[in-house]
Amino acid sequence: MSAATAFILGYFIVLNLFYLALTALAWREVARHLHAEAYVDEQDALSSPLTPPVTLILPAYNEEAGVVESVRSVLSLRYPEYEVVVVNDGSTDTTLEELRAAFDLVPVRVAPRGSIPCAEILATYRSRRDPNLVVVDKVNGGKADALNCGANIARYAYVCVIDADTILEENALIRVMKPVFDDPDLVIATGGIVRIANGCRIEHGRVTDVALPRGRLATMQVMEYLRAFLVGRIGWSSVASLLIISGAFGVFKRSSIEEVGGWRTDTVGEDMELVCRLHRRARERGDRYRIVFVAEPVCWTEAPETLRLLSSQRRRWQRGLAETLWRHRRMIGNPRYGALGIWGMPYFALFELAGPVIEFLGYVIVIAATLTGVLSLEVFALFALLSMGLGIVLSVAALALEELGFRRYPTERSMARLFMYAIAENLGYRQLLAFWRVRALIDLARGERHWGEMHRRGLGGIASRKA
Amino acid sequence: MTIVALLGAGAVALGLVLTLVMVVRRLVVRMVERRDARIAAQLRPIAFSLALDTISSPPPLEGRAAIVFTRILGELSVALRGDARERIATVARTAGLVDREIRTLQRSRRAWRRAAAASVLGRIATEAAAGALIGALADPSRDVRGAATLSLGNIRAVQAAPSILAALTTRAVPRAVIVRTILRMGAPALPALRAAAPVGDAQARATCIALIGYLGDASDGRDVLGYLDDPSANVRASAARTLGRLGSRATVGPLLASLNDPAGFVAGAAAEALGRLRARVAIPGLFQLARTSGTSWTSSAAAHALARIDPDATRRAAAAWGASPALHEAADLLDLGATPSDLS
Repeated sequence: MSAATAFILGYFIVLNLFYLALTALAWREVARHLHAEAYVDEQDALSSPLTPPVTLILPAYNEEAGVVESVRSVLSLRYPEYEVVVVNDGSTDTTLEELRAAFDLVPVRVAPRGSIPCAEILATYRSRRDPNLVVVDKVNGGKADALNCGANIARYAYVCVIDADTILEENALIRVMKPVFDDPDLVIATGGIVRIANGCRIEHGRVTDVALPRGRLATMQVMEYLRAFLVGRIGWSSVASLLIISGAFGVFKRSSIEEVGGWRTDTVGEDMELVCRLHRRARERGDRYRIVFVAEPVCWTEAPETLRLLSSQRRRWQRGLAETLWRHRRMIGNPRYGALGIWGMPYFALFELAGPVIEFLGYVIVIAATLTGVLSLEVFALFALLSMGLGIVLSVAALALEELGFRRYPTERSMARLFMYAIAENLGYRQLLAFWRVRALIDLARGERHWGEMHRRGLGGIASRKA
Repeated sequence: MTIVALLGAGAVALGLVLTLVMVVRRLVVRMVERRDARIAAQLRPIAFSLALDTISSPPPLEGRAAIVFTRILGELSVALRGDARERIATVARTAGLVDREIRTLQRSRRAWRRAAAASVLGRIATEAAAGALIGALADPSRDVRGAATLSLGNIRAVQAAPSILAALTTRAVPRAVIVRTILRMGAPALPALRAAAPVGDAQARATCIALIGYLGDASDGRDVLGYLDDPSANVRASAARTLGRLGSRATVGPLLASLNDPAGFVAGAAAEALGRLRARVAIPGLFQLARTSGTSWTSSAAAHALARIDPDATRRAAAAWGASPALHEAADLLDLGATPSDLS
């Protein structure tokens, strides 16, 4: 065996050991969560006067098709006290007009509570029908800037950020806040699971019937999201190393955000970067803190259904990861940052950032070695089977977790279909993702910084996003 | 290459096992659900008859039927009050269902079974389980301790309040569970709260004081006043809010002094309390805070308090030259017809 093939084999073994360890941790957490459900009653939290109020922030850029439906959905959440701040980030479409007409907005003056730098606010509005709905119209500054603006306007001590094109389940906020109710001194951020809404029936801002998407690409992403959230996030959260709280659905202690200066506007991975900075600051100050992932609260989002849009999204995510890891490189392997420094950061650097490059090179080297006769066809077949076999096992494990803990896809047919996709995604889709992620690193080396395109059909119509 | 082949074989085996687990689980869950639904359909009318006192005892039940029947009684009991609830508790006790659950709580090796037993005992609302539930507060599992705590709240076992409040500092039970339990126990838990408030860490003290605000009355104001000088700003803020909630006008003076607290959020909490008390004597201090506070949070709290006490004066102040954004906001909220809770 050549040194290159030995390296690739070793790399695969270590990577899959990580995956298996995360899966085991996730199984343990999901089992605990299920048992706790036997006695926890959400109604108690709803009626408790000590349940802390929350400000929901929805940054919106050209979301005319879905924004009204999304705001309606958040205004009907089950939570004792909350306000909704929609930040219209200089939309060039009719986002603001749609909101004005739907919620009877009137211009009011709102006193900012925070002072995180952000682009100029042009006007603020409040709904005559629901005074807890505030709409801020500001100069375009990007998503991070809009979030900073929302955090400044927020009236309450906790902010929940959600994308303006997503739908929260009725109980999502109360569930994602549960770690805060239990440990308000320690918990500075929590995140919930994001699931794919394509294929589901949506009525009046609610997902009324859960089903798989019809398209293959979106269904592949369902599998991928299950693996990322149910295995990755639950696993890392259980060892205090959660590095990503999705920008589509996360709760933060406002004072913690202010202390670190808010979301950075010079990265496309502002969600991950903020969580990394929160960890870093808390660790450097020696604070006791927790950043937690909660598997039950669900946020539904629309997945891209074309290769072009998916490629753009994944390249952006990979660039965001690279920027964050580079900015916080001193945390990698540094015991000062606890389990996150020793395990989490090296994992993300070695396997999430460099992984696609090594995977891609692995394919090239193994194929070249086979073609040139350095590697026998038998060994090549073994490598391929091992790589795909482990991939399938991990996907099936995520599916088993879904079945064990959540059973969101009620029909046997859906589960059988997902099972087929758990196998199929290893035969081309995974390799395609690796290729896009390698391209993202090339984009970054070339100095590309833009967000890319995100055309949406909208959960309630047609929308497009470009910033 | 043996290692590669072995790994490949291991992966395939693991995949097969996981797939089998999924399939078997779905089949088992479906089977259990159907069986329980069948049993519940037979037993539910009996449970209703017991609650309505049309029959005096259930038929002898064993195994799964006993478990399902206990669960039905628990669900029913939560929805009932008075005599019907008492009857359910009596039936559960005389039929041996309570003893059965207590045995599970005390002896089961599996934490989730102990937690489920603790939960059912609370739902059935039987005081006969109080001793076992208090014992379960020392269980090694946090889930069991949490379930036992909630159940002690359901059966209003006030004698457990001191142990439960001690868990605020030890973190043996989630804070939210303790809050719910004490609120369910109601005013009888006040002596334990008053005793627990001076001890424990800052979060425990702040929580006890906040709970006094919801369960106590104006006469508790004097005790709470002392916490306005607590070394922890969180405790001072909690005390200020509680004083506003208790409604004792005798506390206005100390709350006015707290408007100058070095921690902005404590001053804001004091402003909120003064607004709640409609303390007109606080108007000059609140105006000062609304105009000049360096913390926007504090100035907003002061402006909202002013709007509660004197809406017209707030509108006039907001119209004056150089008024602060906080006063503008409060005036606009008033024009929108804001309610007192919108201004809290």
